[in-house]
Amino acid sequence: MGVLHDKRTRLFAIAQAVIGAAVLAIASPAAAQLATGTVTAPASGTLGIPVTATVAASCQFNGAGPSGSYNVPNLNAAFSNDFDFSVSCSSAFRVGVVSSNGALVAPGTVSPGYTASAPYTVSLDLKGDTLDTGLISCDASTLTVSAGSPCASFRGPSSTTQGLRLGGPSTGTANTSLIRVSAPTYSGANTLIASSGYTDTLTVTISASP
Amino acid sequence: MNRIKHLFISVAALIGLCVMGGVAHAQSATGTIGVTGTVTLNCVVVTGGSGSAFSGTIALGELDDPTTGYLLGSLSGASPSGAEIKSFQVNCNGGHASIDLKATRLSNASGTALAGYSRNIDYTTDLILTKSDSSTQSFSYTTAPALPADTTGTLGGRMANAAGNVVVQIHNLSAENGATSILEAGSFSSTITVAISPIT
Repeated sequence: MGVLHDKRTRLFAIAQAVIGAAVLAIASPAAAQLATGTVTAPASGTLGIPVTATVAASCQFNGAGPSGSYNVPNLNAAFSNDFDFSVSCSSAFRVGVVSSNGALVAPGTVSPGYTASAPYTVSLDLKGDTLDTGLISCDASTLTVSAGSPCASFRGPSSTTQGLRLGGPSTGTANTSLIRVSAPTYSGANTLIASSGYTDTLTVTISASP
Repeated sequence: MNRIKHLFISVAALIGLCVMGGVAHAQSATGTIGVTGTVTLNCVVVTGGSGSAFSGTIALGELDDPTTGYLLGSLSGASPSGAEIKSFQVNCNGGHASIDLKATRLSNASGTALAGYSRNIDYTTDLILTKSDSSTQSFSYTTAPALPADTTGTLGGRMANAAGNVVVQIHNLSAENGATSILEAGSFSSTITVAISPIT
C-alpha cells in the first residue's frame, strides 16, 4: 500500500506540472515568464504537446459594400450602371452574386408574343492590392439559385470554393471593385409589356478563400 | 488510478479546446443591390411602316362600270375583298389600346356635281384588331357629306403580337347622287386615319 501511494503521489505531481506548463504555454504564448521551481521525481519522461493556432482570415465589405439601387428608365433601350465597392480581406477571397429573378421581371400575366421578363447582364471586377480579375460577365438568368446552367464564374453564394476569386488580399479602400448591370437594346422576339414594376435583386456575398 | 486518469483526460480536453479555438472560420459578408426598370407604353409598327407610323394604299382601280359609267356594283356590297382590304402589324405593349378612326369621302373634286353625276363617294371603313387571345374587335366609320365625329373606343385586351393584327377595309361604297349617277372622270382619293394608342 505504501509503495502504491508513493507512485500515485509522484504521478499526480507530474500531471500537475504538465497541466501547468500547457496552460502557461497557451494562455501566455507571447509573454515569456521566468518561473522557478523544482519537481523531483525518480522517474522522468517526455510528453510532447503540440500547440497549433490559426489566424482566421478576415473578409468584409468596406462601408455599405455593394448596395443601392438603379432604375432603368426604358428597358427597351440599352443601359449600363456600375455599383462600386471595396473589400478588406487579409487573404485571397471570393465574391458571389445571386439574382432573385434571373431577369428584370414585372408582375402580371403575359399573353403570347409578349414577355414580362427583360434579360440583362451582371459583370464583376474584383480589385485587390496587386491583382485584378478584370471584368467577368454572366447573364442574370444564370445567377439564380435554381439556374439549370449556373454561371461558373461567380454565381453565389460565395464560399471558400464558389464565387469569383481574387488570389490576393485587398486591404485598402482605394481598391475599387465594381458590379455592373447592363443590357443592349432589347431585341427579343416577344414584346416587353408596359410596366413600371420590373425588378430584380442581386445579393452579393464575400468569403475568404485562403 | 482513477484520479490520474481524470487528470490526463482533463489535460487532453484542455489542449483540445485550446486548439479548436484557433481554427480558421471563413468570414463572409453580404451586400444587396436592387435593379428596377420601366417599359413605357408604346406601339411599334412591324409591317406597313416604321417607328410609330404605318401607311398603305387601298387601290380600287377603275371605279365605274365601263358599260354604264355608274359605280361598280361589286364595290357597293357589304363584304369587302381583294384590294379593299389592307393589313399591317402593329405591336402595342399596353394591356389595352384606345382607338380613333375617321375617314374622308372618296372625291375627285370639290364642289357640287351636275345632276345625274357624282364626284363624291361615301363608304364605310372598318378597323379590325386581333387581340392576343386571337379574338377580334372591330370599329367602323361611315363617311357622309357632313363628316361625322371620329369613331373612338377601347380595345378590350392586349393586341396580338402577330402579322396582320391590324386590318383596314372598306365596303358599301355609294355615289353621292345615287347608284345610277355617272361618276365624273378623274382621280378619286380619300384618307382613312387610324390612331391606336396603348393604355394600361
